[in-house]
Amino acid sequence: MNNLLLIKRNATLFFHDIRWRFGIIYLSMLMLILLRKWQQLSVINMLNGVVQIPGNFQFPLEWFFLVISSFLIIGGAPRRLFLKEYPMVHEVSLKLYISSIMLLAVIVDTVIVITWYLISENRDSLFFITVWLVLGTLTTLFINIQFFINPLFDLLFVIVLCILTISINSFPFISLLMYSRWHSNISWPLGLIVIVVVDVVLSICIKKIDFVA
Amino acid sequence: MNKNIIEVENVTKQFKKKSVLNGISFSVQSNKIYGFKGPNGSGKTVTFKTILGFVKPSSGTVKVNGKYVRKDVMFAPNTSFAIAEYGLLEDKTGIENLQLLDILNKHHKDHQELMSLLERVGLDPKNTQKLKEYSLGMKQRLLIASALLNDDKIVILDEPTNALDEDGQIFLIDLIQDLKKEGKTILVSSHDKEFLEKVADHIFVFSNGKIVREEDNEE
Repeated sequence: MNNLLLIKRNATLFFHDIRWRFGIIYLSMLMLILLRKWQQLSVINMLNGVVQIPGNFQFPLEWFFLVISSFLIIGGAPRRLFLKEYPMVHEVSLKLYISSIMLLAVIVDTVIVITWYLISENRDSLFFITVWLVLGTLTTLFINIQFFINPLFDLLFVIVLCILTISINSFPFISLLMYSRWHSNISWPLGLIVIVVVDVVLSICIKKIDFVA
Repeated sequence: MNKNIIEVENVTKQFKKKSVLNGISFSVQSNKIYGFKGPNGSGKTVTFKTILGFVKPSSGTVKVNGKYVRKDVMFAPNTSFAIAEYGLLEDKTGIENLQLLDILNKHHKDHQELMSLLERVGLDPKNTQKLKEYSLGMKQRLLIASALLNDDKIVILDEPTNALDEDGQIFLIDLIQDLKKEGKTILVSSHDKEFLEKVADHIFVFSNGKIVREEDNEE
């Protein structure tokens, strides 16, 4: 019962924090998808991303916006929820508290991916499940990092990762978010291992953190 | 003889290369009231956060109830606090806020006890206003109530006189003295010199992250 109460309490704080960003970005994303749909371009096309050809660099703006929309919505809410709100309930275990924050952020990812899935004509379920898993993993990294640095720099880090993914055809793990590369032999274990290791290291360092928002 | 319940030894703290605590050392005996006096930015609140374990010292140690904070334990044991930075839920009433904290922090006060606690700090337990509709003085009183939820032996009150009128200050002095009679140890900060001289047994005077003077006030 305590766990449910904790999640309810944190959900109140979290969704209150993100409500305006969620409204603006989610609606913008929805409008873009519906506009493209009207122009005979499906969600899968927008999530195609790009396979770069030497000498003809292309930047898939729509893919970029769709992928970072979740991070734009989540913003610095996890940092505030942890640094400012945890001290009042610090008898709750650190792991449980952080897990509740991760859960709430992954709910945002889930809403976004489900939206894409429902609107898409080509419902390649395996692709969308992969997208959800990759986004969820990136979100845990995004959250762990912002406990230590300014969320704006954290967002910049995600943007850089996206740009690297766009630029490098074989960029591990995150390339799985591009439908055009999804069927290729993307080195997903390497990318996943790197992210998991970074997450573990950060979670060890969390005990050195200052609860100062 | 009162034993040392808190020992702070040579604690320094830097935030982004700026020194906020410069080698402070002091000890706190049980069942006494300690005042922390000094202007804004002198290091009082950071000292409290260091004792609580919310801030890790850059060097030095903090020992509370025999445990090294951030070494043996993450947070100070048997210690409650009222620090404005760590607030309550704006969309809940006073009693709802206390209920939630009570359950999450694994203590089990019944409804009647929570209502009594609100009365103790001068709030109406039947008030259905949400926290966001409270005046600053009411919010301060509720914060103090949250610090008394756990019946901890050590209570830390950071600038509790802020937003309290004269009656509120009198209530606060009486409350702190009652807490001492209950066997608690109280650390209270203020830049109100008169308030601290009325309530504290011993005063640490802070300036630029250091304790520049100690004043014994005990009768």
